[in-house]
Amino acid sequence: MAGKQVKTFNCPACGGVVSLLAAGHSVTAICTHCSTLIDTANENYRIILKNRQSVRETDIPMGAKGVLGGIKWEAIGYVEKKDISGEYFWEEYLLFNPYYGFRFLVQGDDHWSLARIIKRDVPVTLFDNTIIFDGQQFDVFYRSTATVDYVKGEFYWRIRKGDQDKYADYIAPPRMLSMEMNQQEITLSMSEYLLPEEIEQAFGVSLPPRRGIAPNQPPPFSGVRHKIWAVAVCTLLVAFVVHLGSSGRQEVVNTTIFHVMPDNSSKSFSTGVFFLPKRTNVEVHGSATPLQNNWVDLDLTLVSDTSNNAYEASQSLEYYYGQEDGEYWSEGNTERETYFESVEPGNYRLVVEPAPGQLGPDGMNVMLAVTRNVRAWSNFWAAVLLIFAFPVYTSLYRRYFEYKRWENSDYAPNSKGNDSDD
Amino acid sequence: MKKYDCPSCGAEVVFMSNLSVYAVCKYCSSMVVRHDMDVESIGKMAALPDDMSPFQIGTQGYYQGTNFSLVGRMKIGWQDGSWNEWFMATDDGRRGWLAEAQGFYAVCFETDPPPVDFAHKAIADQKNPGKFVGSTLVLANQKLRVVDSKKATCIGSEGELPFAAPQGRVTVSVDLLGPRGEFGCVEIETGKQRAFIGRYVEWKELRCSNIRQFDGW
Repeated sequence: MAGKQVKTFNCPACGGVVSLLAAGHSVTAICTHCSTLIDTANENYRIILKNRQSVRETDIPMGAKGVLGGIKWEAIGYVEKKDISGEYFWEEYLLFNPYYGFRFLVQGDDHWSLARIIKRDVPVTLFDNTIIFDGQQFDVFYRSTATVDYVKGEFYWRIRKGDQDKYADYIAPPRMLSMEMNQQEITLSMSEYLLPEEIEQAFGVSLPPRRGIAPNQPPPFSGVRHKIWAVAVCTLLVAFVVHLGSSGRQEVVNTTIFHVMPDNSSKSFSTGVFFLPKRTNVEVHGSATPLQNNWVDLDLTLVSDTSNNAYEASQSLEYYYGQEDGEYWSEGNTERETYFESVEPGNYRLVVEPAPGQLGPDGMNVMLAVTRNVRAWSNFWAAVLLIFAFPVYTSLYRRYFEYKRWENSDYAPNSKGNDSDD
Repeated sequence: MKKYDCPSCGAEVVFMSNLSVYAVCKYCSSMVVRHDMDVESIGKMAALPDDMSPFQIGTQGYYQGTNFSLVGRMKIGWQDGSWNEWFMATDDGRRGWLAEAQGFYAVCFETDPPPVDFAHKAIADQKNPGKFVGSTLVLANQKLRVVDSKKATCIGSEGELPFAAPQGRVTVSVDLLGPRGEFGCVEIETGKQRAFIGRYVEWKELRCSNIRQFDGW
C-alpha cells in the first residue's frame, strides 16, 4: 500500500500552501511564504507567532535528500543558534527518514557533525568535567547557554526564536557528547565529525572551506600515527641490516711509513699503488711518532693511476701533555682516521704532503694504513634522520593541532598533546 | 482468531489475538466490544489523522526471538504532539506493545504495576510539577528513571486492542528509562495503573515486513 503524498495545508496567516514532510511528528512548522510559526500538533493549524523575518537561504535547502552513513535523510528543519556570549554561532538541520527517525546535522565554522539523541539513562549533570560513556572518556569543552536565533522548516518539538537551553559539549574526537537542559529534561546526544565533502556529495551542494579547528575534529594522522612510527622503526632496522651487510669485509690495502726529515720537512711522499676493486669508502689511519707537544698536518690526496680521479682530505695530528698544580694533563692524539667516501674503483696511490710543527734532529715517522670497505656511519645517521623526520613531524604537528583546538575552550587540559587516543 | 459480524454494518470483524476485547470495524469505523458470546457497538471512531508512521495493521516484525504482528493501534495526543502505541500479537501470547514516538521505537510487555503511591505522585505532579521527573522506580526488577510524565488523550484507534480505547480517553502517561536503553511506561487511568517494561530498539533490529511505503522513500 503506497502512503499518501506529502501532507499539505493552508497557512492560517497567508493562506499559502505549506507542506508537512514529517506529518504526525511535526508540531511546529514555519510557513515557507510568510515565515509565520504554526502549531501543527493537530489539524487546527493555529498561528503561534506572525513573523516578519525574511527567509534565509541555507547551505542545504529544506526538502533536500541525501545519503549519510548508508541511510537517506531529508532536511526538514533548520535552526540557527548562538551562544549567549555572542561569540559562537552554529546551525542545526533536522533530518528525517520515516523508518529511521531523526538526526541532526550540526554546522559551526563550516565544520559538520551528524548527531543523534541517546535514549539511555546516563547519570550526568551539567557540572561534570568528564563523562565516561561506552567506556570512552569525554572531556568538557564548552559550557554555556544557547539561544535560538532563527528557525525554518518543521520540528517535532515546540520551538521559537528566543528559546534558551543550557548546554555542555564533551569531546573525544571524532565524537562529541552534548547535553542540553531546559526546565523539563536533560537531553543527551552523540555526534560524529563529518568531512564537508561527505555533506557535499550527499546533498549535491557546495560548501565553503572549514575555518579553524572544530571541537571534535579528528587530529591529523589520526589512527595512522602509530603505524607511521612502526613503519619508521621497521625501515630503520632494515637500513641497519643493509648498512652492515652492504660494505663487505674490511681490508687493509696499503701500509706505508714515511720519514719526515727536518731538512726537508715539507717534501711530499707517495705510497705504492693499491687496487680498489669496487666503489668503496676508504679509511686512512694516520699516526706519528714521536709526537710530544707537537703537531703535524697531513694533506692527503688519493690519486687514481688509471683516470683523472683525485680525492682530497687533510688530517691533523697533535699531542700535548704536561703537569700543572700536581696534575698530569694531555690533549690531542698521536693517531687519527680520515675517510674518503664513495671512491671509484681503480688503481690508486696516496700522496701525502706533511706540514710538521717543530722537528727534532731525528725527524718524525708518519705511518699510514689504507683500508677499503669501511662503513660510513655518517650515511647511516643521515638515513636515520630521514626516516624519522616524518614521524617526528606528525607528532609535533599533532601537538600543535591539539593546542589550537583547546585554545577555543575554557577547559583546556595541560597535556592534551601527549594523549595517545588513536 | 475469532470472527463476528459488526453489529452496525454486518461486515466481518476479526479478533486476531485472544487478548483483544475491543476493535474498530474497518468498514464502518464502529467501535466494537467483545463479550463472551457476542459483540456490541459503542459508537463510531473518527478517522485517524494521517502520519508518517512506517507501521500499519498487519506489519510483521521480530523481537528477542519472537515474531510479532501488529493488530491494533492507539494514537495518543498530548499538549506538544502525539505518538502511536501498536498492539502486537506475539507467538508466545504475551501482551506486547510497540511504542513509536519522535522516530524512536520501543517494544514492551505488560508487567505488574507499581504501588499505588506512584500513581498518586504522578497525578500530584501534573497539578504541581515538582521532583517527580528524575525520580527512580523499580519496575520488573529493573531500576528506571522517570524521564517524562504527561497528560495524554486518545486521539483515536484502529484494529483491535486489549481494552476499549475510545477517543478522548485520558490517562497520565509516565515514561521511564534505564541505563542500557530499558524502556518503561506506566499509564494511569482513574483508579488504575498499567505498567509496561521493555527496551528501545533500532528500526533494523525489528526486521519489519509489510511496512508502509512512501513516495520518494
